[in-house]
Amino acid sequence: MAEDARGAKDAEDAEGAGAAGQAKGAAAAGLAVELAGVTFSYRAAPALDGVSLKVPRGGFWAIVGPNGSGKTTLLRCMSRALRPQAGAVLLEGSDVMALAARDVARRLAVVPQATPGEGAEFTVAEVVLMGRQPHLGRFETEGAGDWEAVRRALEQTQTLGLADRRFEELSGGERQRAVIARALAQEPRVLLLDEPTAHLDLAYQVQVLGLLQRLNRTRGLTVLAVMHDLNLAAQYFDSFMLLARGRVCAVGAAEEVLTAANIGRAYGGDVLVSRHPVHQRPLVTLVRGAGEQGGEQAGGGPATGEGVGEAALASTTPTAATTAAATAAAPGPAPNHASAPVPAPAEGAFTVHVIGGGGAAGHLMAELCRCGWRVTAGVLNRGDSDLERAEGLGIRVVTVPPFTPVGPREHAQNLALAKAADAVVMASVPFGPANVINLEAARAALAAGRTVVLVDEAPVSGRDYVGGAAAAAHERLVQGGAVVAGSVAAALRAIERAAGGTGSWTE
Amino acid sequence: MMPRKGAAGDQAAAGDLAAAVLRRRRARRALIAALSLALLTVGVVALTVGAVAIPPATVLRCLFGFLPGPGPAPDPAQMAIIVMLRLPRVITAAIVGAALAVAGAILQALFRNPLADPYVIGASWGASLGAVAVMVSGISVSFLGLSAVPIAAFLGAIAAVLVVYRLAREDGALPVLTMLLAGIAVGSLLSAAVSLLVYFADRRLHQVVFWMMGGLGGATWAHVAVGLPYLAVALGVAFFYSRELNAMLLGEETAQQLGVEVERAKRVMLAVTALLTAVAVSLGGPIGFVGLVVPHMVRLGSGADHRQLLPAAALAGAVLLVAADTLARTVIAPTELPVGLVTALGGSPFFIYILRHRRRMRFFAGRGG
Repeated sequence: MAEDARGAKDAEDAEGAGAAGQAKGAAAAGLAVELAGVTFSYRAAPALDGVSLKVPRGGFWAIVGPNGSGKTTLLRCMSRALRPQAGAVLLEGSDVMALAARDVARRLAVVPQATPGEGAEFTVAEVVLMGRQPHLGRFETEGAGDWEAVRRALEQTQTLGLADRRFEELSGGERQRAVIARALAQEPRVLLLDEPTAHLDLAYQVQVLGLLQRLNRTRGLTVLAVMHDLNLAAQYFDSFMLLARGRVCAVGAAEEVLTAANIGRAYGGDVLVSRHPVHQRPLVTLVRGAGEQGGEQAGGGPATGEGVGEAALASTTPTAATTAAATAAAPGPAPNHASAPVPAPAEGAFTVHVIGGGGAAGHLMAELCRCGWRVTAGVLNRGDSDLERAEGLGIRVVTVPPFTPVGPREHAQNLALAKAADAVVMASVPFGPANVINLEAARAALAAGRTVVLVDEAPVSGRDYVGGAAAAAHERLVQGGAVVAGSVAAALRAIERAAGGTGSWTE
Repeated sequence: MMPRKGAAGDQAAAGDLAAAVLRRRRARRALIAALSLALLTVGVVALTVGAVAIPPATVLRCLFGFLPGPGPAPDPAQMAIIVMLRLPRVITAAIVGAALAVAGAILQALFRNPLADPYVIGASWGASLGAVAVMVSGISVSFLGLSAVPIAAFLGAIAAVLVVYRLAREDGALPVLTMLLAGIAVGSLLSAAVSLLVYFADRRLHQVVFWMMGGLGGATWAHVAVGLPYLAVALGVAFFYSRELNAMLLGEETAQQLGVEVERAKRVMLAVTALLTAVAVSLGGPIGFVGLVVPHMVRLGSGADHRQLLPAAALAGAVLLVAADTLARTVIAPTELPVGLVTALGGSPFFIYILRHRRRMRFFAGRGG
């Protein structure tokens, strides 16, 4: 009897099942969710101010933004929990406020932020079974199809083993996965998640996002997740919406949205956007938070240096904002390094030229920039991690194509930069035939009376792949008065002395 | 990253899953069977005791007309005592107990608060005001075989809940916290009004005070005939809202996201509890603690799932009140104690006990209690 009822209901719901079951191709026709000028305020201050967004079926979206930017409010509007004061949320073309809760719940499931204690007395299986609520009539009991949906949801979230445990006995991570299982048991076409990885350890973060990605790819499930961890989001999500103060700050692919300028504008801190070494997605690193301008430099280093650091930051903050506006307005992918996240001191500041390569100079360059000096570098091969770092730091660099020896033109440019600098630092670079000529730049700088610092984290003999020529050139530099530093820290101290206390390096 | 099991293992797991949950449900159904048996037993015992002791065999013969084996046939006097006096009283007690316990269980889920009882929505003070007003004014009309007091109590309870409902409504929604506060406010106001009436009720003071302690002394078949349909309808509606109540324990927003029309469910549940409370109070006066304590007691055995909790609470409430009423009329016979006194005397220590073992009430954690 129950089977018959389920059959009839399935037929009635065939349209939904078909769309959910098929891959993106068929479903791509329409929009899963459309936000049209959604405006909502809790009291007087608007939490959302005219937010518009079109999410096609099969979209895989991360909603990012600082605390209080309206992410959760937006999710609650989308799930019909809040009624927008203006604008509308369209779920597959229909206004959610005009739909019954049940109709919304059959198409859209929500994984809320963890709410400890709610439903603690139920077992995991019972809680996940509640996901079948929108599919069951008032006088109906769960049938085999419902149990199968529950089992699948439990298995996908690796909570099958927890099925008979009481909700209150679970750890935060287990609870989060059980709630995701409940949402999956709803067999929705759109899944909204509010910080789904907040309570998960690394392995489960990867597992949950991988699961969402797989459901998105194989079953065309449209996913919108509020994410706090930008890097984790960048690793998985296809599309991004950046919210700030209730407004849309940027929309698009990770590369378009997660730029230093956008993030700086939304979050108010200084960040470095580089590329992840493995999957090449944007990698966001906080350089300096909004509320700690120059603060990290207090308590050490020369007093004058502190002033320089702060001044440099203050003078470049408006620049960053202007760039941000330009980036947001320009269509198409914007290069991440177009705007320097770390203030590049004006011409005329104490300048340090770095001879790097092979990844040896990344830390050194970052530290030099942090001290507030102007930094240049050369000659670096494209594809070298040092180059990526330098570009992320907004450093002027002389480059050559990958695996290509330094040519006469690049060498000349490098020489010019080295001579123009107040000091030259040579990182613990391995020297081969392609780059041994860079040693010449150090010699020229020394000859021109510049301070030259050799960072010898490893003895030069071990880095010499040109049969002793590099070691010999190194020896001549030392003879000529170059300072040998055993570490980046020692090198920074040496430059500090040469700069006469205009830097701000602290240990 | 994701270890996968074979398809056969998956199938077995689905079966296991359903089996585990169904096993749990079956165990809880056993609880319901046990409570049914307990109700029958308590009911028969209640029919045997009183001013005239009647042996159980006679009671059963009387109820069912026959019983195999030897024994005297019930004489007409015994028959009259059982059928006309004791049976309606026992059934009324069962109705009142069931109504209070189910109303309490629903309201605890609705408010997600372990301290909620049928009286938080203002019903008992409304009923008291109605009943006391009738007693003090000396009005005596009767309708469907009921005197004016239960009718006034019923109407008073419904009116008070309507006032609370109107006060708590905000933009078409019914925030439970506002409803709780409105219930308390309206209750205080009504209790002041009752006190005022009592203060001037020198002539009928004893009747008023006795009524307000709760009692089933005057129960007749008319009470049963009026109470039973209400109880049946209210229990039926509540039972078919069990899944909604379960979902609402996860929070209103989550329930809504699971497809529950939360506001409608709240209105329906408020109407159901108002009806149950009004029936209980009009038949038995404001009897305390049953609605508060029985749901907690039952939850220990039935779990939080309202599909088991509601029927179990109904049965347990009935058992408890039939037992309490039997004690009330026998313990210092021929004088009768108010049954509300008995439930309060027994209920308070139990309530103190659950307060000290609150771990078992953790499904409310983070809320109220």
